[in-house]
Amino acid sequence: MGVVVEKLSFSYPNKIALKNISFNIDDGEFLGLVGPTGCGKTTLALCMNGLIPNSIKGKFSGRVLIDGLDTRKHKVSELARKVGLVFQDPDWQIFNLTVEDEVVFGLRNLSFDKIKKRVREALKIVGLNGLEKEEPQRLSQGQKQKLCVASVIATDPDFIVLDEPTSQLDYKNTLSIHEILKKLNKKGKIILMIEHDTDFLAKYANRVLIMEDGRIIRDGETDEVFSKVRFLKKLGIKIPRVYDESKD
Amino acid sequence: MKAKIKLILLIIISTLTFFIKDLVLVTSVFLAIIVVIFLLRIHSKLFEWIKPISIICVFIVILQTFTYPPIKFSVEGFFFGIIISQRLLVLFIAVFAFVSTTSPKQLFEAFDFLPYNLALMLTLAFRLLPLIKNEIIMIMNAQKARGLNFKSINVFKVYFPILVPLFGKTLEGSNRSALAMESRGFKGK
Repeated sequence: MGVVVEKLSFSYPNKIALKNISFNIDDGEFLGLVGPTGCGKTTLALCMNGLIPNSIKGKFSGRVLIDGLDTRKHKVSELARKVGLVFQDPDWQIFNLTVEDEVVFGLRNLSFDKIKKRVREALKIVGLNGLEKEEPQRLSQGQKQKLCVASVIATDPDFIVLDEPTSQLDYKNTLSIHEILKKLNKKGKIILMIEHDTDFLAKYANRVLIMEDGRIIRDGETDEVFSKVRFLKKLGIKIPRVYDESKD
Repeated sequence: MKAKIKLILLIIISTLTFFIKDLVLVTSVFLAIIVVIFLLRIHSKLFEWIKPISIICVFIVILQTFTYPPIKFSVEGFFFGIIISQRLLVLFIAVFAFVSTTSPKQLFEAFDFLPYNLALMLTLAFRLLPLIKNEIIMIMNAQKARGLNFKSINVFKVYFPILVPLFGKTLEGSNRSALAMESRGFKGK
């Protein structure tokens, strides 16, 4: 499993969102994606599973290959087996009537036993086992976001993209989600996480991409990128606590 | 009561209400449905939701009173306005009673005679109602904090600052829901 992004550019009808982006992701990498609001992070995330250009129309050029599959030539439903996408707001992502149904949603083509096993495992990883029959709307915000993660990992994708999954959560739930992602990465999943909490990325990510105005302006190992304190300050990115000015 | 029976009752009440042209009959249906709301003990919840629609009804009555042909003040227009408003209120209250007393799971079961995609769409629409209600409360509080006077007589001045962001938020949220479904392999059945 590998991800290749080549000369990717995308424009919405009224805005240029991505400008000639190229990078590769190798097996088992944990990537952090940071940058100011409106720099194109979410658009890039939507390109990863083919929602752009298949469902969201605009001017698209370049290509994204997911395990050799070109996102332009494959349906989102096909790519969903390889790429899982978790959005920011869990309320608008959950659409089933029970926790169990929500997790089962993406598993239609499997046998009954396999579905049962996958649901049990996914809910166990996120700590929601025992709540299978619960109505999702009765869960706390943290539990809802964990349910979204469980729904994605149940489909067993090799590549998980998360768009600020902890932005609406309290500290305890944020930590819990971070631990789940760390566990998934250890199991060999590629993680690409859009996150403003650079402390978390400094701790878990092995590579960080910094975006500004639709471009990737820095791509390197976490330590190398976050030690450029003055550069981060200039962009308005929070400097992780472990890096002080003496390192610049 | 089974959700499907409730759904059938809802359809019958809504359809009948639109065929009744007699003021006494419409008022009787309206009063009957109010009694049902009290029996179901959901009246306090109803009062929270009914305010905006009541304002629209008052507006309809005033409009009809002064624009019923010939265009001048008329008692016939006033009564016609009352009939239309009561029809609207009966419809609103009947839907409210149905949604308030039916869980999302029962709702989906009630729609099981429909094609899967249509049933899912209807269930989603009903499921999003509490979310939209929360959005309304949040927007109202935000506008209150910015000094919006809800007691103002100017309806447009009061409701525009709520409806515009609500519309935007709801469209954005629905789009997000659709993308989330598609991301997880949904392609209809």
